[in-house]
Amino acid sequence: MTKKRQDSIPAGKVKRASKFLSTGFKVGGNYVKHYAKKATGGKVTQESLDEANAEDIYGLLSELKGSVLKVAQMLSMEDQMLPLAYQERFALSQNRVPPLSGPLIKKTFMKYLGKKPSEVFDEFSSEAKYAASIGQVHKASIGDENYAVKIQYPGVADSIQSDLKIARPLAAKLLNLSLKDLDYYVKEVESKLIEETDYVQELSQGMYISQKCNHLEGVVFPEFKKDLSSEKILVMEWLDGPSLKDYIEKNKGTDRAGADQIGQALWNFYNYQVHQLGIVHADPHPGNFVITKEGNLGVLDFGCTKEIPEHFYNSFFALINKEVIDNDEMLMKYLIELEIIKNEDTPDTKKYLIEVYREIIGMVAEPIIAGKFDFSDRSYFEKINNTGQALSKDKKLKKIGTARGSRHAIYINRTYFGLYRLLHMLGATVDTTTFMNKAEVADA
Amino acid sequence: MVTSQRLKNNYINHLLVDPEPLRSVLAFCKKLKIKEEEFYAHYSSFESLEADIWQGFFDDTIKSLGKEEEYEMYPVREKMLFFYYTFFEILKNNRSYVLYRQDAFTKPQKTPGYLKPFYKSFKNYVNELVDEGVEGGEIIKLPIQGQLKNPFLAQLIFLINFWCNDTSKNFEKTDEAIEKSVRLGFELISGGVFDAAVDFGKFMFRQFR
Repeated sequence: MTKKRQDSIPAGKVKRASKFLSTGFKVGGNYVKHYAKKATGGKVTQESLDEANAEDIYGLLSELKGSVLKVAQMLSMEDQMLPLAYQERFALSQNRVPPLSGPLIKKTFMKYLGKKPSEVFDEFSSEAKYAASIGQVHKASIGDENYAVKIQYPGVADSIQSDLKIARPLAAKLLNLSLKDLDYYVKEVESKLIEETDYVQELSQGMYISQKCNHLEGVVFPEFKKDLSSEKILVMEWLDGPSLKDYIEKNKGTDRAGADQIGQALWNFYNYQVHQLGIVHADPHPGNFVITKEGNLGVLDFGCTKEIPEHFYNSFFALINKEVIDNDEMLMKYLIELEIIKNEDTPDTKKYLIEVYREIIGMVAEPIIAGKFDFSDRSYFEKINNTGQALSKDKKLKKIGTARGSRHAIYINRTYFGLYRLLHMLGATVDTTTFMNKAEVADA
Repeated sequence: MVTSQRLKNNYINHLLVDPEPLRSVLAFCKKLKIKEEEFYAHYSSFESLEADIWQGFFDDTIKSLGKEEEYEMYPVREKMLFFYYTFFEILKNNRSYVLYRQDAFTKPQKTPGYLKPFYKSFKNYVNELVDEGVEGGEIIKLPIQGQLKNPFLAQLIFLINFWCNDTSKNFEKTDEAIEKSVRLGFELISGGVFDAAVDFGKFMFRQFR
C-alpha cells in the first residue's frame, strides 16, 4: 500500500458521512472486480479481495479521528472476527492521528490547571511521544521525576455518538448483523467509549486497580498525579522501557524464559482482576504495556475497564468446565443465561447452537482447562481462525440469524482475545490456574 | 480629559443597554458630561470609535502574543493557531458586544466601515506569516501570493461566526473549529493543492476568453 499522508481531517458529520459512503462504494467496487475476475477465469483469492477492502477501509479510517478509530482498534483486536488482511490494516490505524497543536495544548493547560505547561513542569516535550486513540502523550519532568502527560483531543467526547451512528452500517456489514441487533451491542460500546473520554474516571479506575494489584509479582504501575489531572489531562509517572510491542519484535523468541515470565505476569494480572476484583482492564493491547529494565510488566492506560456483573460472571465461567461442556442440559442452561440460546428457539435450533458452542467454548477454554498452556502453538490459533471462518460461512447459522450473546460478553471476550493474542505474540507458556476461583457448578 | 478607553466602554454600554439609538456625538457627550471637542480629540465619528474597538481586540491579541516567549519559536501554522486562541480569549470578554454585531459576520458581503481597519491589520499580519512561511519552506511559493489573504480573512469571519453560534461549554467547539480549519488551510497552501487549482483556473480562463 502506498503511504498516504494524513493531510486533512474531514470535519463535520456530512463530510464524514460522505467519506463512509465513498468507502462503501469502493468496497462494493472491489466485490465487482472480484467477481468480474472470477467470471473471466482470473485467479483470485478471498485474501486478495479482503486486502483490497481493508486498504480502502483503512484509508478512510486513518482520516477519521476519535471514536471511529477506537472502533477500528476494537475490531482489530478480535482475531476471530476479521480476516487477516483486515487485521493488519486495522492494526496500522492505531498510531496514525494528527497531533494536537502546541497552542491548543497550552490553552488546555490554562483552562484546566490555570498554568502553562512550562510553569507546571521543568521540562515538557513539545512533540507528542505517542498517540493514544483519543489523545496524545507528552513526556514531562519536575526535577528528577519524569511524567507521562496525556492530553485529550478536543471534541472527542462530543463526536462519539454521531461517529458511532455513521459507523453502524459499516460495522453491521463487517460483522454481518442487522442494524437492530447491532444496536444492543453498540450501546455497550458507546457507554464504554464515553467513559473513556473522562480522564477523571480513568484516574480513579487506574488508582483503584493499581492499588489492588500492586502486590502481584512482576507487575508494576505508574503513580498517578491526582493534583495535576483533570477531565482532559491525565498525569502519571513515566515508566521507562520499550513497549510490549517493541519488546516482542526485538525478542522474537530468543528469550523464552523472559517471555514466559512476562506472559505469566500478564496472565496473573488479568486473572486476578477477573476472578478477584470483578473489574478488569479491558484493553490488552501491546501499546498499553511497557517492559521495565527489571523485566517487569508496566501497565498503562486504564481508560477502558469493564465491571463484571456477578450473574454474568457465574454463567460465563461455569462454562470453563469439562463436565459442563460435555453435558447437553447444563450447557443449555448456561447458554440461555448468557442470552446465546433463547427460550423461544425451536428444539432444532437449540440443538444446533449447543453443538456449535460446544465446539467454540471447548476451543477457547482449552488453555484454561489444560492448566498449563503453550501459547506459541500456531496450530491452536489456526484452529480457532479456521473454525471462525467456517462458522461465518455456515448457512445454517446464518439462517438462525439474530445476534446472540450478552452485551457484557463484548468486553470480556475482547479482553481474553487480546490476552491470548499477546501471549501468542510473546510465545509464552503460562500456568493458567492462578487466582482462579472457579464458579460453582450448579446442578442443572 | 476623557480617555479613549472610557469613550469606547460607554459607547458599547450604550449600544447594549440603552434602547434608544444615539442621535449624535453631542448627545453622547452630554451623557458623559464632556465637551464635544474632547470626543473629537480621539475620534472623528462613531464609526471611527467602533473601528478602534476592533482594532483594539487585534492590538491586544498581538500584544499578548508578544509576551509569550514560545510564540516566536513556533512554525507559522502554530503561530496562526496561537493568534486565534488568544484572539477569542479577548473576544470572550466582549461577547455581548460581538453578538450584537454578529450581522456583520453572517453577511460578510457588505463589510461595515468599522471593521475595515481591523481586517486590514489582520491581512497584514497574515501576509507577514505567509512570507515567513514561504521563506522557511513551510508554505509553497504561490504565483499570486496577494490573493492568499482572502481565504484567511474568510476563515477569520467563519470562525467569529462559529464562535457566536457556539453553545458548547467554554466554547470548546470553537477550539476544535480553529484547530481543524487552520490545519486544513495550511495543508492546502503547503501541499500545492491551491497552486494547482489556481493554475488550472487560469488555464480554463484563458480558453474561454
